[in-house]
Amino acid sequence: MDSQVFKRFIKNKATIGGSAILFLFLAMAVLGPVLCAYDPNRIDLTSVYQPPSAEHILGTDNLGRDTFSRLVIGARISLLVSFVGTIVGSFLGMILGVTAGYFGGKIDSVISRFVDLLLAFPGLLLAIVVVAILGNGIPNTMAAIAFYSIPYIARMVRGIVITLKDSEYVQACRVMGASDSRIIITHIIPNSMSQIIVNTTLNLGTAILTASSLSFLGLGVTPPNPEWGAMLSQGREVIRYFPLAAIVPGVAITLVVMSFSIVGDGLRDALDPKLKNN
Amino acid sequence: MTKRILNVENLETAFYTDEGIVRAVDNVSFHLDEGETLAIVGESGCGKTVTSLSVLRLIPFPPGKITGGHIYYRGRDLLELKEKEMRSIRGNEISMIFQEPMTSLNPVFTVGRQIMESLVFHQNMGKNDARRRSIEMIKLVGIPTPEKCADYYPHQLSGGMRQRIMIAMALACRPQILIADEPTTALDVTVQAQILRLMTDLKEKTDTSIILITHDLGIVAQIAERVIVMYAGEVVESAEVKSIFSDPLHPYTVGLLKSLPKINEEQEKLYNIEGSVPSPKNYPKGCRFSPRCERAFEKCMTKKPGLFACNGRHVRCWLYERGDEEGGGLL
Amino acid sequence: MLAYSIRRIFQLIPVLFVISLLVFLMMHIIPGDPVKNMLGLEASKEAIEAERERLGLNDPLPTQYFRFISGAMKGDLGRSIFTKKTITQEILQRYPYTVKLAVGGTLFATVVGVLIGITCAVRRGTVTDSSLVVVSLVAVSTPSFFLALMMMLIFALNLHWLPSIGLRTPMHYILPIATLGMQSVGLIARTTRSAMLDVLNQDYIRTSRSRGIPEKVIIYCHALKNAMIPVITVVGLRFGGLLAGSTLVETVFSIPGIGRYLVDGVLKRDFPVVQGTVLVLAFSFVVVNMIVDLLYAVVDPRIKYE
Ligand SMILES: Nc1ncnc2c1ncn2[C@@H]1O[C@H](COP(=O)(O)OP(=O)(O)OP(=O)(O)O)[C@@H](O)[C@H]1O
Ligand SMILES: [Mg+2]
Repeated sequence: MDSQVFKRFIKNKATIGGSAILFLFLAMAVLGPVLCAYDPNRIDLTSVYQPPSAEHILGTDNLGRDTFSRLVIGARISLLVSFVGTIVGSFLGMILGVTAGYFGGKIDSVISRFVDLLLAFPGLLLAIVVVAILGNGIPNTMAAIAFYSIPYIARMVRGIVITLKDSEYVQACRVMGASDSRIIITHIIPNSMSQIIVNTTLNLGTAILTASSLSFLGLGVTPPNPEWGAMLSQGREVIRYFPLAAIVPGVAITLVVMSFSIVGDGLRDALDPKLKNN
Repeated sequence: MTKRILNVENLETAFYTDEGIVRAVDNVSFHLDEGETLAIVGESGCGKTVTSLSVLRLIPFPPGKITGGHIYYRGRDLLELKEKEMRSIRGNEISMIFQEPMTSLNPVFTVGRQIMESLVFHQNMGKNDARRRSIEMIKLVGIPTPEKCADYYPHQLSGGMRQRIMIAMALACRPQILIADEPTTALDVTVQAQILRLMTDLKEKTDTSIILITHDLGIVAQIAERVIVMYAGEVVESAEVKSIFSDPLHPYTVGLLKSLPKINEEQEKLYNIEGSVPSPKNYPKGCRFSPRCERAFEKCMTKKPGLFACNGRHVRCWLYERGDEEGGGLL
Repeated sequence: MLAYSIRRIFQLIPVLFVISLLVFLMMHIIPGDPVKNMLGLEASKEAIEAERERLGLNDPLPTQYFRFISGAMKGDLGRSIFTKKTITQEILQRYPYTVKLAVGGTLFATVVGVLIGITCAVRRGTVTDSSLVVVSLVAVSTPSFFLALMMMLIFALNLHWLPSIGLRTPMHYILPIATLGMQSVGLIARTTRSAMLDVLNQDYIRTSRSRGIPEKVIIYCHALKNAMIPVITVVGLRFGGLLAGSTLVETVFSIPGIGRYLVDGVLKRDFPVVQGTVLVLAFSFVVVNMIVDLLYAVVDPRIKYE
């Protein structure tokens, strides 16, 4: 990120706010156990459904587990699942997109058909299908996220590569006898990177939503792991008596998703001010 | 005596952009008589379009705003009218044809419907009458199969056809004034000639006054009666067409005329005015043309010339300071 | 137009074929033996083998696929491994709930989203604009199941204005539809806003203004029809998204829709159920996409019927 881009990025107040929230949750995820006064899975039936207090900042749940500790470890799981899933998905999508866009012809039409087919289906359904095939659990949730991120990135990268391929610079490289792989690595990929980063950031928000949806349905990360969606699913059962159990993870998901979306938009505007929405 | 139908006095329009204030039209005055064709000429970016949009109060706000002056149409100041009154004038009494025929028609409606609309709104016509009249208008602008054409969408028509439709649309309500903003710039040469002939014919028939905006002096010679020359947002010269061609006063006008290709004379190469139009964000201190002017002297660089009357014409140039007394900006 | 529509419908056939093949293959690469799963860990090898034979799982894949597809064409999707009920009937019972929710949610989202988007574009840069932009952002970011729980908590459990679970009366539809549609409200509002801003800057809008057309007509007729082109894409995508997303809302409000059926199938590893539901959902998306394509042609005359 050069200084111009950075200046434009921090000029926008919303982006600063979004980045701050993200930073907070990331810190939570990284520090993890250091922040937790309690073991997130320690059951204490003597103090269930506690409202927030000095001992339990966010109270306790139906089994007397400390909600704040669960939120912190949940941040770890939720963010890890989305990051790994999205990044793996972006990487695979990038490979597909570059291949299709750079080589064109038959390869392109096969890949594009496949990508279009995937894009016709909602991400959540694709994710459910992946879980149906692989079963649930943390790695499989990551796989589900990766799988449904692939087509978005692939289509975008293909578009960029097609325009870059005909640029004078690439033509010149080719005339000078550079190999395809060299052109791709030294020119095509670096030049599509900024857009890939923007879209990956935007996808991270969706990934959190999808991962927590899966867990909420019981298909993703399963209890007792304190994934946010799974926490919400448990909170749902006691919503009548103890709504806090649902509110805490729900607000956390909303904040993180919103921040990714704000930061993604901010990055896009900073990297390409011309694209800015009027 | 001819009646004055439009009188623009000291018009000022500015755009408040992120990079600063752009004074696109600065203290511009001119008038238009009934049945007359007035040409406004000048290089790209000198404020011709902004001037005509200001007359119709169509300057996009934000960033643009008319910051001063008066526009008297039949004695009423358009700048004082309510938005609703202004609307009943637009397209009905004063209409405009735009520079870009390819993008000026709405792509999702048939052209017939687009012509009908003004008739329905301004003349309270029923659907059937409006359609009949639209077809008449399409025929009037010389399109051979008007019934069929009315049901075409813009993308099915060529640029020249679209500009004809624009003219049909503009004239549908028989306006008093037609403002044609470079109606032929985007078209190829043969079509240009057709469109111009069409406009002069229609003018004879309907007795509309025309403000023709162009940077092509050849066109001016063909159809205009009077000319105002604009430079950097200001009027620099105004005169009858004949005298402008025979005896241009302002060095800028002289330059413009010299850069006109002449068919009957052998020319080595086309003349070009040195330099380029100054940016409206920072105009030169004195005369705005001085940095490019071959005849500029010291005063030109430091003091802004007023509009001087000279042999019954007006010119904004220190060379003519003593030609007559100061004209005071009123033409 | 009619010829175009018919051609588009015929184009569906190969797509549906490919999808059915993919769904079939997908269910056969599931690791683990569903029969073993069904009969429990203690089942003997012979019992498992017999059951496999009975379900036709030992036949070669092409034979199995042929049986699947010919059954599907006759409307027979097989039976659930666990409940033994016919899947087609189960789906026919549940599908209407899901479709009603998705259609309701889409309508709600489209009407509200487009209105918000237009308001923002017309008042761009004002306080109204920025507050509605924030509202849209929050709407997009709130997970539907969280919103559903909160709305249920407030309007059903605390205020008692609306019923909390099930879908028996029209009143029952309000909360599920509103929560299901809310994310799409945000998305559609954003899309409409930027499409309208773009269109309002076009030359042809200036032309309309220069002809003295009332501003309301320009915005709601001239500009909106042009802005609808990108909006239709999003609405179509969202409708598909809501058919799938309905699963979450069905879970919160205990609605026996097809989404919940799918999830229960996945949880129990009841592969014929998963196969049947995914097939039906996939067909629905394909049909929705086709309808969206046809809508483009209605709105935008530049799309040629070829
Ligand atoms: N929306 C706007 N925002 C900012 N500046 C503008 C805007 N519209 C016009 N201008 C400025 O006003 C000045 C005059 O523009 P105008 O379009 O009137 O030129 P013109 O004489 O019609 O040129 P052309 O021959 O190219 O049509 C230009 O310098 C332009 O930069
Ligand atoms: Mg212009």
